[in-house]
Amino acid sequence: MTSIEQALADIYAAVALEAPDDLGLLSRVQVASLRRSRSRRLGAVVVALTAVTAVAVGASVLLGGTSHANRFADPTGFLVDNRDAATTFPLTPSYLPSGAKTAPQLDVYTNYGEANYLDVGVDIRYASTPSGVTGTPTTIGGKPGQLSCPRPGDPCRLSWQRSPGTYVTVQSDLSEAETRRIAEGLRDQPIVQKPKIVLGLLPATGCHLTQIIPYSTVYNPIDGGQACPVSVQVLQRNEPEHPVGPSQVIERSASIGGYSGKLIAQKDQARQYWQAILALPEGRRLVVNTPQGHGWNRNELDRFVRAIIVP
Amino acid sequence: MNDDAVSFEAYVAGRGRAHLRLAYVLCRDADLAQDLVQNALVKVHPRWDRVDNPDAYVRRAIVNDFLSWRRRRAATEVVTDCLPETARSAVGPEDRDAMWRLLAELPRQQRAVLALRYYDELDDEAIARLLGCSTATVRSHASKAIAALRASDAGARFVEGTNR
Repeated sequence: MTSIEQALADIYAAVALEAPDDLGLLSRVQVASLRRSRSRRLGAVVVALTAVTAVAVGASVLLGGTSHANRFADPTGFLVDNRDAATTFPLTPSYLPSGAKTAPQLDVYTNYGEANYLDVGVDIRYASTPSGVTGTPTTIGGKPGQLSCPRPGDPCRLSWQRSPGTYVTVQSDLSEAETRRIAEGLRDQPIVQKPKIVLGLLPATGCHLTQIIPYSTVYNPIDGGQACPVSVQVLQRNEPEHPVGPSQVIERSASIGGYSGKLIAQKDQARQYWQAILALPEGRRLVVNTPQGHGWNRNELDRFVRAIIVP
Repeated sequence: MNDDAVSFEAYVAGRGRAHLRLAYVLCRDADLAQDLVQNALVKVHPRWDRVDNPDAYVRRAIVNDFLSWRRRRAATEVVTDCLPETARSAVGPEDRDAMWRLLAELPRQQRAVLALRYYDELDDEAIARLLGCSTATVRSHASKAIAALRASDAGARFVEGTNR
């Protein structure tokens, strides 16, 4: 490889590190896929996705099948009872097209949030920075914005600054008029939602509930907290595990929270993490990711896993 | 037929990040990269059981969509001006940024070839299949792109820096 070729490889590797995270990617794909299938009247795809969701939601059972008097208590104080945790999306649509039956899937970060109404193919997003949607200038609720409905079959987007520091985008595969009706009907009323996978114990500080979907709950760091990110995911039978980090991976069998599986210790450039992959009934697995250190030790991991409630 | 053991959901969970990185390397626009990957996955989803090589399919969809997106957004695309300081090269961020600006000015097919060659590490035959052209065309795109980079001041500085 010549110098210029090596330079290209280096610059691509560096730029790739800036790539956006894949959090929420699957739910966005599901939303878009549902839109497409609906527009083509391929009901089978909808049924398949509904079935996956139904299996994932299922009847709620306690991990391990037994309860412990002190299951949601931590004598060290590092972890605190988190059973009532919920996340909040600040906007509620006063109008949605007929067919909207279920609560939205939420991805809520500090400066960005997304509510996906899967059954009607409507996304509502807010952010502290402009959306980047370019199109035709328009007004939404008397405020200037951008309308983008590029071609039949593509999503229609309306984007505008709703209040100082809050930019909102409404995206749907509906008509411009319907999309506008949803946008103009947004109210400053929060949607409060509890996760399907409940992390009964969580570090006392520094974690923010970010993502709620039927088979994954994610907490990200907030206020410089080092005890997060923490994520818990349920993998279905035959579903492969995520690839682990690139370097210094140590894997061993382990019993954690009363369940058997394996514990992977991995390290990136800055920090060390744990990933526990534990057997659940019916071939499912529980995948738990936490930092190492910053309050996390083997005992805390054990308590944390014991307090997880999975659907 | 695709391996039945891998569900679409598992594939997205396992490979989504890698596809996002490729898309981002192509366009260096977070929103556009997410759109490219989402569109590619939506295309593969209904035919998941019939796709032999989902990575190749998704990669092809991303690149083809990138080329069309480039056409649609060429007038509005802005090259951003910050790079992470984690690159292994001894060259400073200013030179890398200058190099990236040069890359951004190359014809889109040349950019796609470079990204697939030097980021995704595909050989020319695989790139040719992906882009639907001959290997000679792939080599021609790569050769012209590298010559243009090498001829620039920033390219020369970058090469000099990596040789230090």
